[in-house]
Formats: sequence, structure tokens, C-alpha cells
Amino acid sequence: MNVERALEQLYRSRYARFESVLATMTRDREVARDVVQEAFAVALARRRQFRGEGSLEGWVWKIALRLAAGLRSGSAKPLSDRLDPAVPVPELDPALAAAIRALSPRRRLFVFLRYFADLSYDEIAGACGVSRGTVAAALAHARTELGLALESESAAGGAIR
Amino acid sequence: MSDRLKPLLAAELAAFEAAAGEPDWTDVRRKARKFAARRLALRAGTAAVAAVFAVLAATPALGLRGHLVHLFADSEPAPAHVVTEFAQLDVAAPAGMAPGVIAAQARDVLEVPLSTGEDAVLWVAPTRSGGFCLGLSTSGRGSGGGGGCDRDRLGRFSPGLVIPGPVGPEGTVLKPPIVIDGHTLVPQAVQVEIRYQDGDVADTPVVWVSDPINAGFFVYEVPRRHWDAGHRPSILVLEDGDGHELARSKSYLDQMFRAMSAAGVDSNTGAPAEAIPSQRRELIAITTEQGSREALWVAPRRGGGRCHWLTSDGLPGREQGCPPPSTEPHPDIAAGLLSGSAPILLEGEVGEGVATLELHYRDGDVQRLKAVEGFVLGEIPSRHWPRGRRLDELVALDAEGREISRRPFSTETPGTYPCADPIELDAGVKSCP
Repeated sequence: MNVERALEQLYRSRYARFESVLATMTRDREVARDVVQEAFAVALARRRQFRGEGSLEGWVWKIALRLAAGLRSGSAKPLSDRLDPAVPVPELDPALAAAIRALSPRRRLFVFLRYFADLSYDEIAGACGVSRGTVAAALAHARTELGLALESESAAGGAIR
Repeated sequence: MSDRLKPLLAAELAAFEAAAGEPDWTDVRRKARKFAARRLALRAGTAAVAAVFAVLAATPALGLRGHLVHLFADSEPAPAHVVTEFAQLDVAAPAGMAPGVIAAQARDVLEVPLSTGEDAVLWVAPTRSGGFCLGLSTSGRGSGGGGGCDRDRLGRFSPGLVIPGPVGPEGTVLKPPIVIDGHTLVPQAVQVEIRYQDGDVADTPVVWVSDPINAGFFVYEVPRRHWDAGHRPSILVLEDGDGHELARSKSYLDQMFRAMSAAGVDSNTGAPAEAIPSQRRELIAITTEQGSREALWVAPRRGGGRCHWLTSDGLPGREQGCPPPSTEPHPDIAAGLLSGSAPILLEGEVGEGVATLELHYRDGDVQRLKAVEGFVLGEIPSRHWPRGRRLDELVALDAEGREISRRPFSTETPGTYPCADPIELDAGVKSCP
């Protein structure tokens, strides 16, 4: 499949996911929508630069996250230092929301990319400009923190939906 | 813990996703075209870019959405050697075919980076009749390049193929780049979509050049993976800002590639690609006034017919041809001048019954060339370069010396013969009268 068609297919199947995850980063759905449109437009215009070394979705996420962070493509500053995703919905389970808010911004970002955007460790590493080991370690810590918080809530009688 | 966490988060996000808007791929494509056009414009220089965005910003209601406009008057003038090349288009043109190019007004229109590390540079100059000529270099601004003219504004959508590098005997391109360039007169044109034989698709923006050119131009390098048969460009589609088709050039590039294959030259023997070089024979060889050895070769043509070509000191020369077999009777005199710089050669074919071709000069001299298997080759001596002494007529004779036919031979076109004192013709261009 050529890259243009693959991009269109990715866009149509994953648009809502892109917009929703990016909305947690930009705190604004309209801005998130603009970022998604811009990210796919950049990917489409630069599709000849995609060499197939990673996943196409990971490549688009990298562009989108950089746009969301307001970074130029050549910036060496890690994305994880610029993006601070917010808990998406007020209706989120209070215990879970509180646990997520308690995470460091970097761990929160990795959690969002792993569990909301459904990216692999490698894709997160590529998108954020860090090593796979950094992602793995951060997620392991995050899971521990979230698990402890949720277990504590459960033990105190709170429900986990 | 992750087993519990993932469904929890996924469930929350599912609710959040429900609030997402509708995807709009058309908008993405439009933005991508603008982005690509902006990158292209950035290559064309800061002044041009400023002009472009000034126009884009000021005229959104004039159908210029996604349209890249290049203000001709504000563009950088073409370098002197390019101006000279434009002016020379008029110099040696046959009667009635001169484009009337205003070479001094040639401007840079596009610069596109190539895989070679060089830039493709497109220059455009207006013609006196309201048309334009264009020239393309694939080696940056310091080099010249080929081009053409649309003197009478007839080319609604006119793509071309540029292969500056060597071509192997089987028509294989040996060195990048392969470039598609061209122009359109359709004002709504925003991009050219390149559709490949293997289903791949690419696009390149059209840059609209303002008055007095009023035409759109494009330059696109064909990637290496699309050089071979089965993967080559098959159709070019001219599109507006919404992706609607305005015009197409179907199978044009295939024809071009076939022509390119026919034009391929074996660098070892100088033989055309269609020739069978192992069966080549040297028919005629002469030593010129300057001491070079000019030779005419023939070889069977693959699929029938015969190829012929010239070599100069063993290197590929200035002429080659591989006409397919024909039942049409061959004209008695089908020879012409290879002119412009020394040596000036008269070369070509003659009819079956022709044994000798006489070259009658205006000063009364007569030079005789012996026909060999229907070919002649000779040098026009330098004493016959000046006006009043030039070749005036060709006469074909049979083996008994009887005249078979004669043909007047006008040689007053400027630039045909070298001279000591070129005269100025146009835009500072000098040529021999």
C-alpha cells in the first residue's frame, strides 16, 4: 500500500483517537482538531521522508505531539518536558483521575500515549525522543503508582468501575 | 496492575472519543498542498516568498485558495549565460519558427532540490507574441539547460521529461536525475498528480507565474524506485485546489521513455540503443582540417532496418538515427549540415542510384563526396564558411556521372558557420552572420 493511502486509512480509522488524546495535551478540542489536521497534512506533504523504519502511526504521532508542544521539528528538547496532559473528562473515575493527576507530567504523558493512544513502547520512544528503556521504566513506575492508589481506594471502600 | 488499568482507561477514553468531531480528509489534502507549495516557494528565495504570501493573503476571494503565485516582475533575473541561451533560441530557428523570445527579461521561477544534491532551476522569459519560453537546469544556477517555448500559448497542459545523464544501450538511465517539468495555461491548476504504473501516487505543486507570463509551472524529480518499466509514471493529472481533474496527459511519459530508449547511446561504440553494436561497420572516415577523425558507422537495427551514427575521434558524435524499415522510396538527397562549430560536416543518406554527391559552392568550387552504401560524409572546408563562398546547391549523380537530382542549399541562417567576428543579435547575444 502506498503511503498516501495508508495515511488516509489511518486518518479515517483513528481520527477520534488522535483528536481526543491531543485534546488532553492542548486542553482544547478545537486546537486539538487543528493539530490533527496539520499533523496529517505535514505527514502527507512529507510522506516521501517516511522510510518505513517504524510504524506510520508512530511517525504521525511524533509530528502531532511536536505540533501540540509547539516545537519545531528540529528542536532537541524532549517532548516529555513540554507536554503535560490533563485528565480528559470530569466523569473519570475519581480515584483513577486523582491517581493520574498525581503522576509526574512525563509519566502521565507516557500513560496517555500507552493506554489512550495505544502506542507501543517503541512508538512512544520515537515520538517523544527518548529511549525505549526510559519509556519502559517510566510506565513501570506509573503503573505501580496508579496501582497503589487504586488499591488504596479499593481498600477504603471506593469502587473501581 | 496493567491488566486492570488498560480497560479502565480505555473505557474512559471511549466516552471522551464520542465527543470528537468528524474527520475531513479533503481539508488535510488541501493543507498538505499548501505546505508542499510553501516549502517549494521557500526554495525560490525570500523576496519571492514575501510576494507569494502577500498575494495569497490579499486575494483569498479570487479563487487562489491553495494557489501559489509567483510575481514575475519581482523575481530574480536569470544569470547572463541563461539569457544568452534564451536569445539563441531565435538565432538558428528555421524561417517562421523563431519564438521571438525577450531574453533579457528571463527570470528565475522555481528551484527544486534534487537527489543529486544540486537544484533544478526553471527560468522563464516572455515572447513578443505573448507567449513564453522556459529553460531548465538540473545542475543549479551556474549551468544552462534545455527548454522550449509556447510562443502562441497553445499548451493547455504540457509536461516534459528531462534526462540529463547518460543512458545505457537498453535505454537504462545510468545516473540521476529524471525530472518531469512543464507548464499549464489553466488558471485553476494547483498541483500535478503523478500516477505510477505500480499504483503509487505522488503530487507536485503548480507555481503560477504572473503577468506577462500568466502560466503555471511545475518541476518534479522521479524517484529511483520509479525508473524501471512497470513502476514508471503512467499518467499526469492536473488538479485544482479541491483535487478535481482539470486535464491529464495519458501515457505521454511512456512514449517519452520509449523515445529515450531509442535515443540511448552505447558509450563504448557510440551506437544507438536500437543498433546491434557487435555487427557495426565503419563505412566512411575523414580527417578534418583540425585533425579530428570523423567516422560514419552502420549496424543492423533490432527488429529490422539499419542504424547509422557518427563518431569523432572514437567518441559518440553529433548524429545518429535508426529508421525502421520503410517501403517508401528514399529521397535522392537527404543530407544536411552539422553546423555551429568546427568541423562543419555534411552528412546523410542519398538515394539508391546515387554514386556521387556534388557540393556546389557560391564561388564556383565543386566538392565531390562518394556515396557508400547510400551514405555520404564530408567536411565543409573553412574557406567556404564566409558569405559569398558558401554551399549553394547539392547535385546527385549516378555511376556514369549523370545528374539524378539537385537541391538548393540555403546557408544564410545566423550561427551556421563559425566566424572571426560575431555580431550582436539580441540581448547582448553575439552570433556569426
